[in-house]
Amino acid sequence: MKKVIFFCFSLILILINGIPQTASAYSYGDPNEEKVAEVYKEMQLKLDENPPNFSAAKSLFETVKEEVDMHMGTEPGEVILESINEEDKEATIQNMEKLLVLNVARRLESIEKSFEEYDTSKKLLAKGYATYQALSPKVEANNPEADKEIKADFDAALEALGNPGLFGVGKKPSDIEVFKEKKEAILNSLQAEFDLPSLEVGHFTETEEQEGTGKKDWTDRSNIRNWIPLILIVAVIGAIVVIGIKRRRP
Amino acid sequence: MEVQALLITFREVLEALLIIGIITTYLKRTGNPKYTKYVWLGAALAILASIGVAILFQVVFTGFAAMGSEIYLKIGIMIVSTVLLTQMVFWMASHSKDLKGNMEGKMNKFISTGNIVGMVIHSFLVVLREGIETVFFFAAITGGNIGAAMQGWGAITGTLIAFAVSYMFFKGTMKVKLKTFFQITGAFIILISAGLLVQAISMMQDVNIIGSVMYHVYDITWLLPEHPIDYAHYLRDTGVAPLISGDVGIFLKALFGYSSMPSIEEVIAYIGYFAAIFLLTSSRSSKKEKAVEKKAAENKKVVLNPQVK
Repeated sequence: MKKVIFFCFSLILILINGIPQTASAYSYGDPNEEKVAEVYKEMQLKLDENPPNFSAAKSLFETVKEEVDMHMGTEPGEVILESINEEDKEATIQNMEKLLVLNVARRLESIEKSFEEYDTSKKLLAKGYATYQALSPKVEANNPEADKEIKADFDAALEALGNPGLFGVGKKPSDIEVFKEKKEAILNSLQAEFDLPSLEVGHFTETEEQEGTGKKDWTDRSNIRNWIPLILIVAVIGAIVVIGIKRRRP
Repeated sequence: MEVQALLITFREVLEALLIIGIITTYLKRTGNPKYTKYVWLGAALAILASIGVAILFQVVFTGFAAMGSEIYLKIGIMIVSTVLLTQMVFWMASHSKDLKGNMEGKMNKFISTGNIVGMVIHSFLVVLREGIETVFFFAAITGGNIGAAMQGWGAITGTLIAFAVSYMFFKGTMKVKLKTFFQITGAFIILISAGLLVQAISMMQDVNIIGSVMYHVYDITWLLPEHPIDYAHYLRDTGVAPLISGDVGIFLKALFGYSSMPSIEEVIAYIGYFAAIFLLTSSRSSKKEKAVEKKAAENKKVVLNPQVK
């Protein structure tokens, strides 16, 4: 009888753990981090090495190429790979910057489709802003005023999303018209700053709002920082083994 | 949404009640039911704290700079939970070994002020973790309107079912030997704890707090993806569906910390965790058993005519 109770309880625990959670609960990535923008920053570091490390830059870009192709068409990816293959540092960075502008546009366009979904819109806007932050130093260097305006527009766009609040606390209404206005302002400034003829961002897939798993594909083994977790884990386990063996001895 | 809210609260409340149930069962079986109310007080405070956290994330941390705080809080909670649950495993392992038959009266020696405070903190943090998880899941299923999920019938029904199930379970276990009870619940706790540990490592790698020398030791998404999203992505990218559904993957992830493409750090930490727990609990017990045997031998010498009850 007792065993039956334990069995039933075990089964219940297994079953409740088996209930699938919703998609958005799974996204482990930092909302303030956009993969394409992170890859751009890392590529910049590799290209700034002397001599520029084009093969590392290529490996980095290839980790996002599939996503880029899917959301923005195959053309941007091909152009970037071509400039890497030609070992043209300036062209590679410029093309990556244009790609980031397209990415900001993609994120902002997606928000309108899910405007009522506060959580999703907020995350998409954060991704757009994270992408802009990678571009911000360049904009600031050329035109500090524009950089300030774009950042203010992002803040205003976030305000326009409103907030459902909690039991009436902190409730704020949303305003899609204000959002659209700010979106246009941001995109127009970026288009002018990076000299893009069009912000036609290719096809959007239906799975637009589904974020990736945030899992990384590429790592830099020459960087000591990446070895630290492994060394720590092995050291802790080693220490426990030593303690355990010592204890076992009479 | 109501059904999802029901399932979420059922799962989270039941998990919290499992730990609280272990603690209160321990108190009752050791003849200290008077402390039970403090454990429940800890749990009640944790519910209030969870609501506070919900307000913090819904209303305060909404700027771009603060938005990522959610994930850092999750990582922090996971690490604290792993430490607490591991400590609980040791506590249970050492106490269950000391229990011989029905000599529960002697258990009183284990009850000290420190223990009681520890149990209250334990129940507070366990409920806080489940409460915060519930908040994040509610935010996900309602598109950010946490209050909406709480107000429906789903959340209340889920909570009631969890209470009913755990009541029946713990009422049943009162007749089970405490040692067996601790061994079985301990095994569950080790699994939950190991899963939390590797998920915390995985999250820290995802948000770049720590690096990795190998992000994917292997990739068996084609066989068993860890989540329905991975299933959908694999299908989209290759045109072929993985062999086993992502729903099975998420079940294994929740139970054993399964990952279809783990980093080398996750793999080593997971295996190492079980090895370490085994080594430490077994070495502790062998030492204690020897001490007990020694004591028994000494007692035999002194007491020539032991009283038989």
